[in-house]
Amino acid sequence: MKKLRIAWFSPVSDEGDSCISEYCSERLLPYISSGHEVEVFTNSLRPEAFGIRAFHYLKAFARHRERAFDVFFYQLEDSIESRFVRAHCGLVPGVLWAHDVFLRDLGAEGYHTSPWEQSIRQYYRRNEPFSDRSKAPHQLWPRIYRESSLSPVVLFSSRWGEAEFQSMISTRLESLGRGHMSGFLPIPTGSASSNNVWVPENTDTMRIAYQGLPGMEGRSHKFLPALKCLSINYVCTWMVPFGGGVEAHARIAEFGLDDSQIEIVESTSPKRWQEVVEASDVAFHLHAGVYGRMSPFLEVSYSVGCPVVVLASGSGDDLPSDAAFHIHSGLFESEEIKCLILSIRELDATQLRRQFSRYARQNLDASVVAQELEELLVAHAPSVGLVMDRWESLRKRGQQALLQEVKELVSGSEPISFDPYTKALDPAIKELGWAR
Amino acid sequence: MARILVLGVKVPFSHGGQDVLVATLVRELIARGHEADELSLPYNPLPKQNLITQAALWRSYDLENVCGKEIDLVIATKFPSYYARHPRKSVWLVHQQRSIYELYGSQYSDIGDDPRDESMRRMLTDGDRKVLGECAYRSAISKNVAERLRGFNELDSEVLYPPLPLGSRYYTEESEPYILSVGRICRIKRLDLIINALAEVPGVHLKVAGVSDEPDAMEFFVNEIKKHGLEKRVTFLGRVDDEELLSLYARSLAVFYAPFDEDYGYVTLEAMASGKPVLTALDSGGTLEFVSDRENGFVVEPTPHGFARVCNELMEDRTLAESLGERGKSFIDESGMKKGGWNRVIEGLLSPLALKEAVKTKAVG
Repeated sequence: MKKLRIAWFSPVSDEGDSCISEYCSERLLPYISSGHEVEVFTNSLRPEAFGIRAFHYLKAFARHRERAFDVFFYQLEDSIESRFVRAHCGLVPGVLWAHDVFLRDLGAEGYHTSPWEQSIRQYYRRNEPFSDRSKAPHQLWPRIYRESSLSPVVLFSSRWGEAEFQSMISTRLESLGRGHMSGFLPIPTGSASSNNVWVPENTDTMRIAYQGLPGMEGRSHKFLPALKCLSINYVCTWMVPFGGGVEAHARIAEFGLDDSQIEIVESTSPKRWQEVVEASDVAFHLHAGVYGRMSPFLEVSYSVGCPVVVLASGSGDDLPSDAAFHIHSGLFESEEIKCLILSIRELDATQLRRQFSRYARQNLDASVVAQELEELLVAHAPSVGLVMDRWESLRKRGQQALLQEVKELVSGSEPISFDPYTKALDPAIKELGWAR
Repeated sequence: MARILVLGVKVPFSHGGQDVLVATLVRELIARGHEADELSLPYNPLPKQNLITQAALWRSYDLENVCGKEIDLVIATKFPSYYARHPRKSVWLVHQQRSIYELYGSQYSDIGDDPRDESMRRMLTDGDRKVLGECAYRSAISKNVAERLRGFNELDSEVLYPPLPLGSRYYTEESEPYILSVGRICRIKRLDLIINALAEVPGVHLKVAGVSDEPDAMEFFVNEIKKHGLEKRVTFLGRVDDEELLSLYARSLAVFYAPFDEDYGYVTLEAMASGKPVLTALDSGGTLEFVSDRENGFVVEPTPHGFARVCNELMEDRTLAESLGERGKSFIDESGMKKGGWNRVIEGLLSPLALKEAVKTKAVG
């Protein structure tokens, strides 16, 4: 396989699990960097990330100029930590792995004023003018139109995300002339070191893990009534995002449940979720909406072999029936949840965990996902390179246009006897190498 | 004795830390017998293409000889003054053009993904590396600024903290129930955090010393005040003179200073010199080089609630405010920030002159 030089964009935090992109980088980079030359670009000035040489993302152009990368690899998600990736994927084309298709975070002013549609037109037509600076371009939100517009290859970590892209975004971009290859690349679990599965200590009490938003998207209005009807001993750990605890407690009170049986954990840490599911008999991931998501918590549940329950019509609808229990949303949802908990209680826990672990090993193991990504990058590096070259020539045209704007600001457009731009600024501009 | 030009940039009708720094540096140089003067050009970042114009304009100046006078040394401070040409150029870096570096991709930057903008970012980044790289001596006003220079441009610099502008004149008096905010009124200083916090803190007033230098900023803050019905508890004092400033510090309960990723922040040190706790945020950058949580102030999450919590704590426990303030004051007394610190600063900035002397001596020899 051809060895690539890869610019890998990823957020990085002290905790190591601030968002899904960081989670994925931590699991995939050991494999990718073993066969390729990778430099990590982050939003920090730290010289190392994930055990690899790292730079601030604003130095990417200088690193690329020094020694060209074959491919820029971006992970895009709807999080503040990933804003910089969003910024940069509009600067240099690359392979995009989108964990979100909808963006609640409207982000920085730079996105609001992005003339990306005009830029795409210019990419194809040399005579197309630069956008009028005095007019704010129309923006299409909240989908990832701008963010995917420069990427010849767009991958998704959910199948519905890819479907959404195909039906809405791709059509729009194609009308501008941009064609894409899109595909699915799952979120990895950690690498399984053996075939052994972890089984929590056997007790009379059913231990239920529940991950989801406290509102309707997380289906708490169906899940909590199900718990209310349980006639067995149970304890439940409900993980909600930071700030969601108050609403979660309100829901528990609303449905008249015993507070002592449900522990609320406010966290977005996959490591914390792992502690929860390691000590649980079943994990509920009932996410139904377009905002928010189950990953990487679903994958963490798989990584410890915890049986998972998803909605048949939600974000986990593509999971095969031998890899997830499916609940049908609607009138009988609570009843189904209740019955399922009681059924799982009767099943052989070791056997069940072995089944879920096997699915994770075969499909989601970091080594499997990394290999798939590696093959994609190698296969598409030449076409990405062509787009990068062509984009760079547009950027250079932008430089000339900028200098023309500067000239008009200084000298005006009318010919005059003393041209301050030529007399005063031009020598300095040439000396600084800006005219090249 | 040397002839020295201190290079500054001037935002008309605004007065900030850089203006203070340039003026005090010139004063200290003259006090040491040098012939020193300030050379400032107006700074106008609008439209943004002007950044190129102004950098090139500074570059077009050869300051080695001005009006028949040989200039021995120039000391540049802030973008784009360090684009000036001189064989003996020191830089005491206040900050670079922040919108292309640490503020890029944030609400505080107007540089986007337009190929013209991206070209400008690359041109200025390359330009900075060249013109800062050619400096005979490089220093920065804080670790934060030095780390940015290292991280973005791969250039090392010595950290020289600017001593306090009013030297030993700071004093402490019994505190009155108001929080003081000092500095330019603009969005990046995040005055809205403390304004919104006041809604959760009964009995405390906010006094704001400084003027607005950003379009619509004042309107935004006034709206926040009206939203919470705080008109009677927030006072905008405008620009105040030194005596009034010292008195405002001395009588305050605490000083709020929580900009986003501040370069350095005189206000922090002035508050500490006045024996007052500083209220700052986890992402306030340079202020965190001096403020430690519950040691000489509070470092909280950048939310109104975070500031409200600590304001209430200070209101309920005035002795806590006093003890935090005293620890800050002790730090300043021991740090040499009041007076002695200037010797180190000037020794560093003037070091290229020693090189010049050595060359001259060698030539004579």
